[in-house]
Amino acid sequence: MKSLITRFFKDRRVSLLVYCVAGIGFLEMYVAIYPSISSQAARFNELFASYPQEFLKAFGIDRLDMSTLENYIAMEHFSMIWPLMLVIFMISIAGGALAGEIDRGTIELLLARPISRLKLFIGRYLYGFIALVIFILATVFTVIPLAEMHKVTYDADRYLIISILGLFFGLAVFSLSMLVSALFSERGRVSMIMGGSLVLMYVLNVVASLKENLSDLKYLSFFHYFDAQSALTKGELNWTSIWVFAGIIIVSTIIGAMVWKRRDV
Amino acid sequence: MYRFFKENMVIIEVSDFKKYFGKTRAVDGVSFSVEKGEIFGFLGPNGAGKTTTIRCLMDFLRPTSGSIKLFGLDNQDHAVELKHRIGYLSGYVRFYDKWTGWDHIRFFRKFNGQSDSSAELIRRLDFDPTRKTGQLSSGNKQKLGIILALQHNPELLILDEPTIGLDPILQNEIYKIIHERVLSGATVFFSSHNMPEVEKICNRVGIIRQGKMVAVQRIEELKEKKVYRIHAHTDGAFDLSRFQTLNITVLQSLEHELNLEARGDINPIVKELSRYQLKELTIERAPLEQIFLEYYEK
Repeated sequence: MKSLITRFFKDRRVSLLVYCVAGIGFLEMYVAIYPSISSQAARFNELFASYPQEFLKAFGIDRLDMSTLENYIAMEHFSMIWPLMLVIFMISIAGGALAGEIDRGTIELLLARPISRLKLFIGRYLYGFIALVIFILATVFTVIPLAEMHKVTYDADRYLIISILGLFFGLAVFSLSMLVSALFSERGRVSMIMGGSLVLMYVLNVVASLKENLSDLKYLSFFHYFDAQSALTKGELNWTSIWVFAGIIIVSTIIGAMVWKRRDV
Repeated sequence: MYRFFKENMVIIEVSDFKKYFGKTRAVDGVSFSVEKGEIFGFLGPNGAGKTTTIRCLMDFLRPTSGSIKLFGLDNQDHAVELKHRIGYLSGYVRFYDKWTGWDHIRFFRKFNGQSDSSAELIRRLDFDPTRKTGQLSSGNKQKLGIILALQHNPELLILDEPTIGLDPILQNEIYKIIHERVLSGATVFFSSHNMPEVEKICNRVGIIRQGKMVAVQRIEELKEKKVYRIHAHTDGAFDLSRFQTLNITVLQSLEHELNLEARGDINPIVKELSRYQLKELTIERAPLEQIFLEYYEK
């Protein structure tokens, strides 16, 4: 198991590094410009007040306030770019973990050895989990030294909350992607299905926020449960979201492992 | 008693094995067994079901019905345990392009246990393990595939076209290695399109066609099928109608020449040919390849 994880880790260390560096780069940019933004916060708030509420809701922003770093970074980064990076990273790992091996024709090399299919599945899953934790640690908690560096006031607890929410959100996306990866034999198909599904979820969330009579559609979207704004601006961890993500993680992982164990490769 | 059991131990036992892909019957009720120490050649035209059978033996594909036992154990229930004892070479061997040969050998060694003969195999196959596999020629990839299949000294070798892409010198080295492994107690199951290769190294062959096993025979038995090729040359013309009643196939008939394929007793043909003033007569055993091809075409 250890060999499976470490080898997979070694093969993907560059992509992990690229995602982490990109995430840290975004953080640095936002933290560095925040002092000048905060000095103009009152003007920005006035400007935002003139925006139509529907427009703001469409982008998942319902509280516009630039008076704290957390409010600003939630709106600029954690409501859009960060989850997008997380989603792409997780789908990419899951796609390569199972379907990618079949696609490349290397699955026979692995399964010709005394490695059970379940062990391979768990090994790849654990790698995804570890990579997710590293990504979150690097791209969320780095805000603390960056804020110190730029002399910006911050609330560390709120980053812990967004990390927990992000961990469950990322694992839910990863588990579902692993299920799709266990079902299909082409990496591209996993990306297409998962990418399409998440775009659809995003659209459902937007539509639900715009139309009162369609508001229940939001419950079908991961983006409804990943409420970065509440986590960062209010410091609230929505337990319903955690339970929904946990349910998706458990069900997807069990079904994915069963499918992988039984299918032809 | 123990010795008798060991010598006759069945290593591969396939019973009424079927594999369907939707409505396509890739393998349709195949049964055969391979005993310890045998080199069993698995032959058949493209699309006959050879690779499907091999991939089911390896538990990559799951049979639609029937049973596959290796070393007396169900190959699905004991997959991990069995793979300690199996060396497998795919017919479409693929590697991780960014890894070197060493990366592959070292990584898979971790799963195979203590026994390792990779250094000797590298030397004998003249393989450079320092290069990334993405840069290797097809022949060198095949060498690496063979090293990975044999490095842990397995008791059963399942090889899908092991010598494809290799030059004759390396082919002979592979045959030598296979024979040495058999002498030290291994069993070999391999598929090939190379008929002289099969004739050279196999004890027994199974021929699959359209998903069904059409023959399982010892090489000696096939050789005893007594198929002859007869070439006769005379001054006069042959009267073909007189040959019609004999057990022959006319391969070519020219004015003064006759090429025949005959089976079984050739005395009536020789008697008939003796009626002519022959300038030349050659009678030779048909190559085994001819006999294989007949099974392919039946």
